[in-house]
Amino acid sequence: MKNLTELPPTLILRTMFTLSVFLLFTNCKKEAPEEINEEEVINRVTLSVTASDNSTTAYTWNEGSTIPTISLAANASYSVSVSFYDASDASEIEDITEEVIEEADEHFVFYEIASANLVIASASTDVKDSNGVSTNLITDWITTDASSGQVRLFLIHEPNDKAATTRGAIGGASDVELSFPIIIQ
Amino acid sequence: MVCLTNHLYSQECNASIFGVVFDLHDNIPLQDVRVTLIEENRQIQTTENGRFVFTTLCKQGYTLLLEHPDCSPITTRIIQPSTIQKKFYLEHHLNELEEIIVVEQGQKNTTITGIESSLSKEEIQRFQSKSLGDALAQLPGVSSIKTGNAIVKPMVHGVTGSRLAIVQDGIRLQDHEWGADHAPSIDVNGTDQLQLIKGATALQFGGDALGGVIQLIPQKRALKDSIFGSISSGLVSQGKAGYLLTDLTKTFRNGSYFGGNLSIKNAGDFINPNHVLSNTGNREQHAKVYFGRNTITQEWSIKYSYFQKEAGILSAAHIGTVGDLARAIESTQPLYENPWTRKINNPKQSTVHHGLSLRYDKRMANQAKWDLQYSFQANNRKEFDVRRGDANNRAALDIRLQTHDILFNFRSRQESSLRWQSGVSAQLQDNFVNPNTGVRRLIPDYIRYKLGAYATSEYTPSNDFSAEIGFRFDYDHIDAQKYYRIANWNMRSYNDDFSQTIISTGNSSSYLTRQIKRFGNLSASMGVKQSLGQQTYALFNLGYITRSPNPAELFSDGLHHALATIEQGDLRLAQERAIKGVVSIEKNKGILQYALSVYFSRVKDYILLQPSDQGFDQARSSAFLVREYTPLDRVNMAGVDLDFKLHFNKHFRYQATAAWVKAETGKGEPLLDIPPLNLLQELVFEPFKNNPFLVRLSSQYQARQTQYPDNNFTYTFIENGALVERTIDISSPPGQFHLMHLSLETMLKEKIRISLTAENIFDLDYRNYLNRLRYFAGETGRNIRLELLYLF
Repeated sequence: MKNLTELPPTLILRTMFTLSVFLLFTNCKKEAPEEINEEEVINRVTLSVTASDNSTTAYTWNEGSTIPTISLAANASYSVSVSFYDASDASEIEDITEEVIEEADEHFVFYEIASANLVIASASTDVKDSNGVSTNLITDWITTDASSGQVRLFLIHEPNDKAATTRGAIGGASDVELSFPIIIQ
Repeated sequence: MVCLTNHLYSQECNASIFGVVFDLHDNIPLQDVRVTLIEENRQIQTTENGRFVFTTLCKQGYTLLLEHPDCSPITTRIIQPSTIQKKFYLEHHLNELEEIIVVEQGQKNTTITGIESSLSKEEIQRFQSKSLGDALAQLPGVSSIKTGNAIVKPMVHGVTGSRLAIVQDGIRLQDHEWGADHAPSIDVNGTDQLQLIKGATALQFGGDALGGVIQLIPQKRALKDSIFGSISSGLVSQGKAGYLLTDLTKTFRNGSYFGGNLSIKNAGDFINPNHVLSNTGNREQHAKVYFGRNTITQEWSIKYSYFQKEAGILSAAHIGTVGDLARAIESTQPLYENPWTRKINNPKQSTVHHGLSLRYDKRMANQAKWDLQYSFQANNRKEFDVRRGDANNRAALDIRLQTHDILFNFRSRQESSLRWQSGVSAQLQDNFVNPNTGVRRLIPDYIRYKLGAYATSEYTPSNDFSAEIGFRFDYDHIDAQKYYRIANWNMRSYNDDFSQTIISTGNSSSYLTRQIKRFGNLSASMGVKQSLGQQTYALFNLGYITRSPNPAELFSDGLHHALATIEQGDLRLAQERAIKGVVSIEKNKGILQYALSVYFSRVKDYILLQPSDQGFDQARSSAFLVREYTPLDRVNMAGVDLDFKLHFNKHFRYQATAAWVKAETGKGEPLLDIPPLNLLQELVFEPFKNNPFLVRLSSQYQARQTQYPDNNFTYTFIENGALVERTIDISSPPGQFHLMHLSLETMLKEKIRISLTAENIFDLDYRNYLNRLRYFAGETGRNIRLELLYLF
């Protein structure tokens, strides 16, 4: 075609040359990326259950493991405190409970009970937020007749209404939602 | 005229003026230019080579007048005749050049047989308070997939992301390809034309766009001394929002130009008829500057653009677990509502996009041309989650993507019935993820390069028939370094195929691996256009599309909080191969205009994000849904788009667009997020003869999607002390909706346009299937906008 001769062939070559130089320069490997240590992950939750005789049993869930079954006596009362941990690095376990207490206004622990004859209420020693509302980090558990069922634990971040009685009405996002099987005997 | 005849008194009047006259634009010597030596009233014509000579001149100053029928005359002063040949440049008449500009840059088609439609500048201006996705949704076959109301992503023929090319100033935008919440960083201000090319015919921009190409075409510039631009401003009731946009261009007669534009938008929370959509405000700031010179035969330009946007994500959509998702879906009201505010809290998204491009165009005889372009794009996408302590101010996702492109295109001369175009391109991409987020990378660090070459040919033997054929080849090379959790690595049996990619063991629970992926993608297209008489044409095109999996599809590994979903890539993914055919009948002139197109596509190894066999990731402190990029053996898509315009008379016009698409797997299972049937209608009424007052009544109808996959899951609630298991319906689409909009517009002194618009007049509370946050809250209610546009 006539028009091809009108296009200086050197220009095409120059373009090709530029493109290849561009690629040569860039054909390099990147530095190895830094490994990211996941922060503020809650991958360990412990329920410390203290009976009236001051004996304490700890029920601990670790990420990837089955949730332990809580065993309580009928017609008894217990004091239960919950702790949250980041155990990603076994040599440096971080206690997230401290952060929850620091930001008590934005946090709330909530329990749901299914089938078990159990009542859970905030303990007198419970941590309170700046409005004097209990966080439920420390609770009293009072059992009645022998039964079995489930206790579902929520750690709620930025709840809408801490006075609400259902998980839905409390709002906010669940940072933790764990269902502990429970046997009362 | 005074003629000096001092040569009579001088013995040295033997000097000469040698000259040659060229056309300023193409450097071709001009014949028959009348050259007048004013001082001696002598006239001659230039020769075939554009040359002239005046001899027996004295050593004194002379004035030359150069005239040509097609050119503006010039006068020039010669201080002293000499033996050196002088060059003179004449410029063609401006109006003629303007015509060339109009022919070259006006609203013309990019392809001959492709199915194209576009929005003009005036139409784009009606969407200044909104996003690119909202403006595009006016075109037949385009829908928007949204995350809330500020993050809007265009979808063409039911596909988006990597399957849709968005091209600005000839360069493909790179940052919108990952996930539905990654919207394109594009400001429509300063765009003259928004063009949609359906199907795979525009191979110049890539061979992997199953949906098609969306092209933003910039303002054309006249070769005259002029300054023009606009200032527009609006007040919007939704979000108590305001915006200010300006654009300004200065052009010079010699073809130089410079200009720029600036956009500022600010909105607070949007509201639904029944509740505040808390934390849905957004802020945008965009700017662009450019300068260059266009002398018709050649043009160079430099452009820089900046885009910055911060958008809040609906607070009610911030959930932690599958249980939260289940409760949100069961609730008819958002589970989170605050008083109205302009403040943007976490969760939010913040994006910054820088673009720099250098371009040189050269036009030769017969309008053959070539262009060379370099472009650099830098994108930074940050996502902020609700977190504890100082981490709340730190992004949970911080991706920095840099892309360099070099493109060269050559177009053969245009007079011949057989024309061709060809080009090569090279791209280098560097993705870096800031490791200080404290959250594992969703997309790993990688280097990617692509080399591409294409050739297309058009054959137009007569005005009634044309045919087009094209090929493209792309080599795609991805070199990523990624950490895999060993548990995850083993579960996917990656050791069987990828054990050699392990570089080292990171901390005790992860491997650092280097993943090199190479793909060669061949694409082809062919098409014909036949006149049926009476301005009606039939078009058919057929494309073969190959798309290699993108880094999100290969490597994704992370949590999407809004949907309590973990997204996972798959190292084993192969290329997607598709065949797509589009048939269209179009009539683009006259009282009745229409375009009816029917398409079908058949895709092999279609990559789809779908629920994994695992179902839930129970390993965490709260359960999440797991979605995996999965290759589907076969996907079939088919659809119909209709564009219909009726100009009753000067006072009345009616317009309608409708689209329907069906997409299913080879087993007959429908795909997720496919747009339902939609119909947009518009009636424009201009009651007065000499007053540019206009009433626009629009109707927007979207049917309920009846074709959808079943992704439901079960969740056990605890209610009144008992366990209650229920199916959580995340699949069923919301019902149909029909919105009415009304707009009044008028022009003052042909310079100021004032418009008052009410959208969703009846304040309908509805939910949209294509909004991924539909589970958490309804759409926005009535919106009233008062807008002012001043043109100068």
